[in-house]
Amino acid sequence: MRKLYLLLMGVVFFASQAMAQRTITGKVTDDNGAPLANISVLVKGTTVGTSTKADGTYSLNVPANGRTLVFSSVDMLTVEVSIGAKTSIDATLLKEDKTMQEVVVVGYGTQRKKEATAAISKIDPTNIAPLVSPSIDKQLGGRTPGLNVTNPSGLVNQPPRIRIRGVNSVGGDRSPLIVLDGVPISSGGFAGFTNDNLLANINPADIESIEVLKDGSATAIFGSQGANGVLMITTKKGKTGRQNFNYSSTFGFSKPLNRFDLLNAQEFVTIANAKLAAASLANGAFMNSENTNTDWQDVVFRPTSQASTHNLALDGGNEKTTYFLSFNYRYQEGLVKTNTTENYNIRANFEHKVNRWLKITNNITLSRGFDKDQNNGGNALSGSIAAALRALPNVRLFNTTLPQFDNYNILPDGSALGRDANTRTIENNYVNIGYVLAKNKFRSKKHRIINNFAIEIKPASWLTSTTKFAIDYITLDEFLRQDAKHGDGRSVLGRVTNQAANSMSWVGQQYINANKTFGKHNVNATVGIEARNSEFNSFSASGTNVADAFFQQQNVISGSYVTQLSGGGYSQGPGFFSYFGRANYDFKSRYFLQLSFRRDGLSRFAKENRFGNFPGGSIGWRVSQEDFWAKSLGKVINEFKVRASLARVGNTGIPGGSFPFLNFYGLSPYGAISGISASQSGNADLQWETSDKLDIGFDMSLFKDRITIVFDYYKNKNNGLVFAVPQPPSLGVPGNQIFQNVGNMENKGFELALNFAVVRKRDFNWDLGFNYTNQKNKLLSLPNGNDIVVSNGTGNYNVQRVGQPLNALYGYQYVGVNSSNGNPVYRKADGTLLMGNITNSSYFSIADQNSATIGSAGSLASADRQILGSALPTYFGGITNTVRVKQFTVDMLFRFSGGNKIMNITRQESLLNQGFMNNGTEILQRWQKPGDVTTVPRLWYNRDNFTNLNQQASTRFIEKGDFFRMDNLSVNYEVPSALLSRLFKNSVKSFRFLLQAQNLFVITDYTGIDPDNIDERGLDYNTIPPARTISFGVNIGF
Amino acid sequence: MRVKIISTILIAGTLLMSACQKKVLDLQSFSQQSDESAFANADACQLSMYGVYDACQSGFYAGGAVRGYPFGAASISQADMRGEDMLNQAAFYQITYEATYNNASANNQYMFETIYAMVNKANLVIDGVKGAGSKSIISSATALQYEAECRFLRAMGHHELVLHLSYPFTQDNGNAMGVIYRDFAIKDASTAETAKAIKRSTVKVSDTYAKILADLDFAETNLPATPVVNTSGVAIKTFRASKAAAIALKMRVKMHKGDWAGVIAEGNKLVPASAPFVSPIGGWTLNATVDGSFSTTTSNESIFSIRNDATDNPGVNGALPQMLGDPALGARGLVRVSPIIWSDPAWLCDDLRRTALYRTSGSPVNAVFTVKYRDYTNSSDPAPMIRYAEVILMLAEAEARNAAGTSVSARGLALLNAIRNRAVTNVADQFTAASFADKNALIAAILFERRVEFLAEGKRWGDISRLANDANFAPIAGGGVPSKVGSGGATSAMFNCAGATFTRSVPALAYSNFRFLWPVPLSEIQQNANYDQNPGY
Repeated sequence: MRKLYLLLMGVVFFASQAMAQRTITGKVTDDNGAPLANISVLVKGTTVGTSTKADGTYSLNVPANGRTLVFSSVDMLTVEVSIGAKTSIDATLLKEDKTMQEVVVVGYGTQRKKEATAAISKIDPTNIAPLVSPSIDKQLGGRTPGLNVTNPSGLVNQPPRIRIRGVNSVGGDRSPLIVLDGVPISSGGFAGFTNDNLLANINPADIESIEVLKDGSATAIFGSQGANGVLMITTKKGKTGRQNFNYSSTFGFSKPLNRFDLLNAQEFVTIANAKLAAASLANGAFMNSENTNTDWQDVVFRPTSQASTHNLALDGGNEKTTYFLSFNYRYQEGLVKTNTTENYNIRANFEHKVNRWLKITNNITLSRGFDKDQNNGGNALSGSIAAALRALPNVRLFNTTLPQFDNYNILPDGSALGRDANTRTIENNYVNIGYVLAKNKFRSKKHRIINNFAIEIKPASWLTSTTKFAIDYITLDEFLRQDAKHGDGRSVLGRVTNQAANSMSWVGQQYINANKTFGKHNVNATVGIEARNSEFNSFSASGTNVADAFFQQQNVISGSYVTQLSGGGYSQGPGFFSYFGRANYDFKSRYFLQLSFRRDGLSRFAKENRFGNFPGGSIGWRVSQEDFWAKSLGKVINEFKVRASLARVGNTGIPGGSFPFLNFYGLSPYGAISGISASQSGNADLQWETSDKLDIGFDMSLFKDRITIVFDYYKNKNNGLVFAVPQPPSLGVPGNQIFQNVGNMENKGFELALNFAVVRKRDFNWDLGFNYTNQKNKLLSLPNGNDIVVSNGTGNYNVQRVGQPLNALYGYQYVGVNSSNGNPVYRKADGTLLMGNITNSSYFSIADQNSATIGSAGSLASADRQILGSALPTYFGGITNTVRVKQFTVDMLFRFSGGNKIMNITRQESLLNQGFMNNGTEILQRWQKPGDVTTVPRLWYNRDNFTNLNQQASTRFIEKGDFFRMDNLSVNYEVPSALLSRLFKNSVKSFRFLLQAQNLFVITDYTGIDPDNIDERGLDYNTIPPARTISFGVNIGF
Repeated sequence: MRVKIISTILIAGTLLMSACQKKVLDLQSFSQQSDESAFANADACQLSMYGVYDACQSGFYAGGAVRGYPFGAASISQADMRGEDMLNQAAFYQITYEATYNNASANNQYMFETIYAMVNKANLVIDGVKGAGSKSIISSATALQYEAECRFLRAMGHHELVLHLSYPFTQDNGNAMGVIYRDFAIKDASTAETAKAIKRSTVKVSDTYAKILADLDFAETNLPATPVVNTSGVAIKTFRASKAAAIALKMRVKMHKGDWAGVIAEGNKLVPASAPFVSPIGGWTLNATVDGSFSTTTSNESIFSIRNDATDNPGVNGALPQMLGDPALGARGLVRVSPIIWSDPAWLCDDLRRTALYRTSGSPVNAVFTVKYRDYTNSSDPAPMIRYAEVILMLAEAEARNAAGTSVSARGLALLNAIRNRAVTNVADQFTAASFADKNALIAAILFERRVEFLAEGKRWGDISRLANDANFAPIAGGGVPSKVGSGGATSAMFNCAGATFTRSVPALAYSNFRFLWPVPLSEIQQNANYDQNPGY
């Protein structure tokens, strides 16, 4: 009875209101004043509504009782305006980024962020795309918690190191899986003679969004590929109903952010002769008659490096078909004269609805990369930085009496840098790097096709089947030329090499999505299968003893060389096959449950161990949807969701090549006689390396999304780590290693992301962002519990030890210089002091650091080495600051990192060397006479190994790696649309100017070139400094 | 209709994908073969045999580079750099030259590692060819020959190790700690455990020597006297082990033991009682000219050398011509001849070797380079291991030492002259019995002749080691490494065949200094507590 009454009342009420309508008109624009089409305009509490036209205007008959208009769109913040007595209502809608409302791309589908129970961060590429950068990945650092991006050097074409939630494998792959439009693609480098970056083939301007999948729940759907996290890159698609044509261009100029402080010629002469005198050798360094003072860094570095990008994009579509087409050209010069990278990328995305139930999409990228490089070896005689740091400053770059060397100053026999007035030749025959850079060539050309074809079938409105087939084909053509007269090619009278390689990877996916709502219950399920494989082949042709430099310019030329060499290789796989499923359930958009399961097979294991099972689950609770919350806290905290996930994922990128489970005999030619010999001790019991990932976190929005906070605590336990378990070399097992699942490691920490919309007004917006990640890595177990000393090829600076972080720095405790005799003093493990007598390279005990009394003979033994610090940062993060005032937007990015130590090998082996080579200015502080208090021991020619403990770490060269830096500052000016329409009569839709600066400053105590430019073991050895870049750009939309 | 089409497509798609599973997961290697197939036929057995020689020629170095470890060139450069007669010119060999190595020094580490890696490859081949022989895949004679070759190389490897890691046999008659002798194949976890259980502390130098000699006896018995031919029928000769090589190596090992009678017994198998000295086994003999062994790499004097070719050699960072050659000829000149030997008046100015095998630069001379290794472009020079000249001088020393009382051995003198008179053609300068006051004078002359004849061939360390306990002939009083000329310290006027003065700025290393021995590398110590470290490291 009561119900009926209410119903009747409602009808009457509605009818009476309906009679008193009125019309309201208006225009909806974005925050720049540009009209917005297809915006929904709705009278609150009713179904009465319309949507805006292309010019942003609308007209709506509003019932008399309508009090509020609601303007909304999928990707915009909803705006409510009270109607009152108005007949015209304009609205400005702001793009809805960084809020809970957005959609995130997850494996094999998308999810609304508010429904996500996994730790997923989204990176908006809008601010990144216009930066002068050889590739998008180099610019991801500092933008979101949990994601650490490090550039190992200032080379423009070297891929950065990307880590999500720490290092999750010891010997295997640690880089995240890169998924482009739903399909995994190759990343890292491909070329052999140069650095190159496969992600440079993705045009940053084509990217719609980048999602960082961090916890187990997010990555579990990728099963065995998810141990290192996933970067999901989604490219732009055409949009129905409008056509856009956009051109943008950027020009930039770079200089090194820092340079090495080297001795000048006069200082070099003093120091070099002092080294010789100590060893009872005659003076060898003398100023020449011109008093030459060459700065060899000027010889290696460009005065200014240039960069330019051009980008054309066209997109549009109708109800049935949408398209997106872009052309991108990018050129960037490195700091070193010969280093450049050039990329052409064409991308075409096409989507066509054949009928109600069938949709076809194809996304294709065609790209060409052209990289030029040089020898970058840290201790290579022709290494660009190595040679520049060591070259003698009192020697001229040119010597006009040597036309055979194009007047470069080189010893007449071509073996080393010229001597000028010196009576000795540079140590180890270091070269005239000017000549080498001018003559030697390292080039690689790469062509690539990434195609992704998909058929989407909808048997029912709630059911979608997707079939995808994607290929990633890369072909490489490389050329290397080494001059016959000087440098690396001299010993073989010139070398010329061509190398070609092809890689074909394919992925096939078939999956079904079901999405159904039963009352307040929403169910979403995905099941599917996936197969992957790849094939790689390469071959090279090379000649030495070249007839003439003329024939060495572009390619191997038949008959132009005496000694012919060739090589090649072929491999398949790893092959990969899997079954997967995921189910999401939510009740009233309030309680969420997600379960996923994946069964993966990998060709890299013996048949019986091939398949691994990877389950995952997560729960979420949108507390803010509860009535009690809405009534109390809801006004302040409008959104609050807690979530937790636990999953097991695997790592396909284990070490050990394609067949670590087999015993192999490999080719071992004895000179020109063919031979084979044991090359691998296989382990048929090898299993999957897994990672158990726990994540507990919450998402919170305050003051109507004014402040958003995302917090996560995580703990990854890596189990059964595949180790190349070191075998005692005296056993003679091939490679002294056998691959075994024997280690455990843990990464844990927390992440915090905070965004604060400080001011949000029509002409003034101010957004502040802060993100912070704390991470702790610890090895829990190792094979037999033994330490594993890590060699980087030339020395042993790191150790794997239970209870310590991965690659802990490990070496001797340096106490200082004995002020009475200038010898280095160390502290042994038992706490006693040991002085290294440079005169006879022997150790003696000593009572205190400065004692003049020498005790009994002793030794600095391996047992005296101690852990000296973590090579991995323990915290990192970023700060973003965006201010928009009218047409101007200023965007800043600061980045910080720390808690790690760096072994500064550059200082140890280059800058403080004891040979007949140049030094850094630190050597001026050398001990010279009793009473001198300094940290630099006395000089002695060629006693490097004893004086500096080369190839080993000591606290003398271990430094803190903490830094705070300003990565970007950009100023963006948008020409007002009113002005544009006056100037161009609506033919130009948008016009923006950009002024940007990258790498503005770095604040650090680190004395090396840059604390960011280190390898993962915390080693810095003659790396190329990063560049500071100033650029200018325009962006025009038609 | 629609449902039918859709389901057909879906089912077809799913089936197609499922069919991929086998294709995707069952992959093959095309660049390496399984261990079973390595001995499956006669050709494979022979390939595996050459693989052991390759392990001598081009073992790994840090990061996988080939630098001539262990016997390609590294053993020669290192043994010279431990001594005083060759001069280190740059930082490249500084650690070895000045004995500042520690248990992580790469040069010592990779000598140790690559020798043991070669030894295990040899042991694996011994197992493999025994199996192939028992299955009649190869003849039992061939199986025995391969086994003998493997045991020859295994003995040579262990002898190199014991020279660097242990005190000489002459100390306490071999009672010092030796090196672990790997004489069985390590191919799985259980054999690895057995091997790891062996404690170095229980192994004496004399034990190591006994095993070396047992292997060499087996090699002598089963190696062919005539040179081996390769698959194309071409004599490989110098580059594979032969009966004479095994006997010559036995002479060297017995010489290190101080077993002079043993040296003579072995030597008599290769050297006739009187000139002409042509070996009845294998026909080895001295070349007529002083540089005959280096102008022709497979001469009748080169009993055993490690082969290199243009396509496979230690390259610019290891090849002998690159390391030792004159930069004016395109080499790197890192290791030169020291004024210590060059300016020693005992090495006569008109000795033909000074001009035929060395080059000088500067006027006055400021650098001396060897031209024993001369393919500067392609680095194809072999690494000489055993020359007939060594057989002759070893026998000469044994005869001289074995002579009764203080008498000067006539045969010893004749053998010395066979080498020396090839270079010293001025009759007035040639030795006669009257040149020597007593046997010690003759021994000293033979020892000096070894320094000259084998200069730049890596024999110096062996002599410094074995003579350390020799009261009469220790290189310095009490034994040890003599002082050296400082690295890169050579300037003009230091080189004068009639004698010169120069500073020896690298101090002598006493026999009592712990660095007289090399350390066991850290890589071993950390994984195998049973491989005891030498004291001081």
